[in-house]
Amino acid sequence: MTDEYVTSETNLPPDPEGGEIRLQITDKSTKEISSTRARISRSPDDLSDPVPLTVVKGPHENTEEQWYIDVLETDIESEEIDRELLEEAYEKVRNDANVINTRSDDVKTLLRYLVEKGRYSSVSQASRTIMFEYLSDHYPELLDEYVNIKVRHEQRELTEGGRDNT
Amino acid sequence: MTVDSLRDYVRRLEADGMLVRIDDPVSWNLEASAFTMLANERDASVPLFESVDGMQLIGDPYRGSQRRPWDRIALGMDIPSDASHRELYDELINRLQTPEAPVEVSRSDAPCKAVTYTDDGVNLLDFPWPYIHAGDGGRYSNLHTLIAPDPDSDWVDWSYHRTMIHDSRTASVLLLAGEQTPNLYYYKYERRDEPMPVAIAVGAEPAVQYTSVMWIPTGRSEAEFAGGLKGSPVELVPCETNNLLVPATAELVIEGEILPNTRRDEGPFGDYFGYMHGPRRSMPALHVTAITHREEPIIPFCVEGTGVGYTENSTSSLEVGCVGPDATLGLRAGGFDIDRCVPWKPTPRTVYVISTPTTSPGYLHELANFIFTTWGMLHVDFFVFVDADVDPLDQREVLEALALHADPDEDFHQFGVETMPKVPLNIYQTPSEKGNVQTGTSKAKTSKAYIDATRKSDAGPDPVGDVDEQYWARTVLKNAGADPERLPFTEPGGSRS
Repeated sequence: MTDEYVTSETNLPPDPEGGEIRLQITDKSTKEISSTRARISRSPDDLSDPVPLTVVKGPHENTEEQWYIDVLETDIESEEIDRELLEEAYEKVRNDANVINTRSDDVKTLLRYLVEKGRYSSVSQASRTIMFEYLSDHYPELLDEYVNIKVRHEQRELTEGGRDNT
Repeated sequence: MTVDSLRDYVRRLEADGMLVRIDDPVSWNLEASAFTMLANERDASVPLFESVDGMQLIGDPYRGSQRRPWDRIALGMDIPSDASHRELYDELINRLQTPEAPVEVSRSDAPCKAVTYTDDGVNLLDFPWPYIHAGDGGRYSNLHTLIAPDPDSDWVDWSYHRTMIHDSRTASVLLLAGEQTPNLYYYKYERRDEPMPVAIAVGAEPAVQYTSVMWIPTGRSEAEFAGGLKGSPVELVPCETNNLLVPATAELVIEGEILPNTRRDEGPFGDYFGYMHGPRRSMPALHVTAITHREEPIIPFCVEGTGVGYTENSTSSLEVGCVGPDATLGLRAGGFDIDRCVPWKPTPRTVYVISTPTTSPGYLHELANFIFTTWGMLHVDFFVFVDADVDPLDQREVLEALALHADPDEDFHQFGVETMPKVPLNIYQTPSEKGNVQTGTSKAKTSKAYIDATRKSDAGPDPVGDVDEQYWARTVLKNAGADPERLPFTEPGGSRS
């Protein structure tokens, strides 16, 4: 690994600056492509150990923007999604209650605070939104696969519903 | 004497003064491709880089000379490199009609097994895969043969799909649905949630490389046709980690499996249209299970995108030199009355010329339908049909037929308006028109077209000038040693009586 990297704008999550993200980068010297846990920013002053990161943009990636990256962990294994297990979970939830039970004075206090401040309309809504955001940031492949499964199921239901009507 | 390996071919290039050895250290990072691009543009000798991180690269080894882009293709089949294009074409027709079954050799007799890496020893990054154009998404292996089996039969496809190196054991492979191997992957293996076992033969012997770019019908043995082209059986050897057989004299073999439902970034890449080409796409991931190679392997590569319109790299020379006889035989086998099918030299993947003695409008439409729904579906934009006495290898004759016989009102036919698939490497559609990739192909849809440049009746008006005198003059010059393709005149009306 050297001290300069390249990534595509298409690899950046929404609002990438500040927080920890998973990011695919290319080592500018070896061209090795790897997944990392990192922080990135347009300003090196925002990062503790910044190295240059070229973000290529546009449909042909022929424009460049200078960013900086603080690589926290290299060679993050791309998590293989066990689709069979996810399918099972999907079916179980559909046939069962969709309530999430958890007990915590601390969490509930914090959520209630956010509700009172008007950030969320209810504790339930705050729980859903925050958990989704976390899952989206930390398990993007899992979310992608879940969306695929859900779409497939919905398509199947539509098709089967259509057949019933004929 | 047959040409049995890439290095055998390299020796022949050198003996004929067509090779330059570069022993100074050269980087795989743009430097080797820059030298190669200059050699391509200047019609210089083929560069063999002998010191690239301790290994060897060869830049565009099959690139032909600018006036005779087929000459080094001929050399690779032990056909004299001064053969005319017509002679090469006819010889290829003959050889493809006499396939030879391959022979299997033991591992100890296979040069490609001199060094073997499996398990933890596998590391793609130990090899100097070139970074070819500034702006490419990664380093590429792009002059090789991808070997993949049909899960439902004994058929094994040999094809040619650029492969982007990601890390020590991972690469992504450009598989565009509509072609043979991609169809095996998307419509058989992936639907069954099974990995597709593959091998990539890098630097295989010329006949194998040639067969990879040819249209060999589904179900037919590519190895047998390669044997026919070579004039003797191709030697095959079993892989280390799957049941595939690979060319024994290949410089290097990557074994692995293309995983179902697993994608990696592929591209951008400066491809054959001559432009840096995005967007990056999600393409199937190759997991590498073994690498074997000869001692001091030579890794060939192609600087795609150079000399567009002038056939100045390996793949465009391969198209001009190899493709055409295969299509001619395929169309004849399909029951069509074809004289020759020939790729148009400056744009060999997108435009073809077909000469045929049967020229009724319904027949030409049926012929176009056959081509656009089989091998011409993805890459070919349009065809020009000419009479059987017009030589499709002679661009002047074809242009003359177009100018004289193609009526813009009646003879330019659109085919499958906005419904035909199109390879997303073209540049006349915007990125949004091409769409993103879901199943490996693109949303790119376009029309195909064909031009009927055949005469409408045998009884045309009398030509100006004396045809017999022109023919006599042409014959005299040809007998005196002039290249007939460079004579500054041709017969009026495409006539060659």
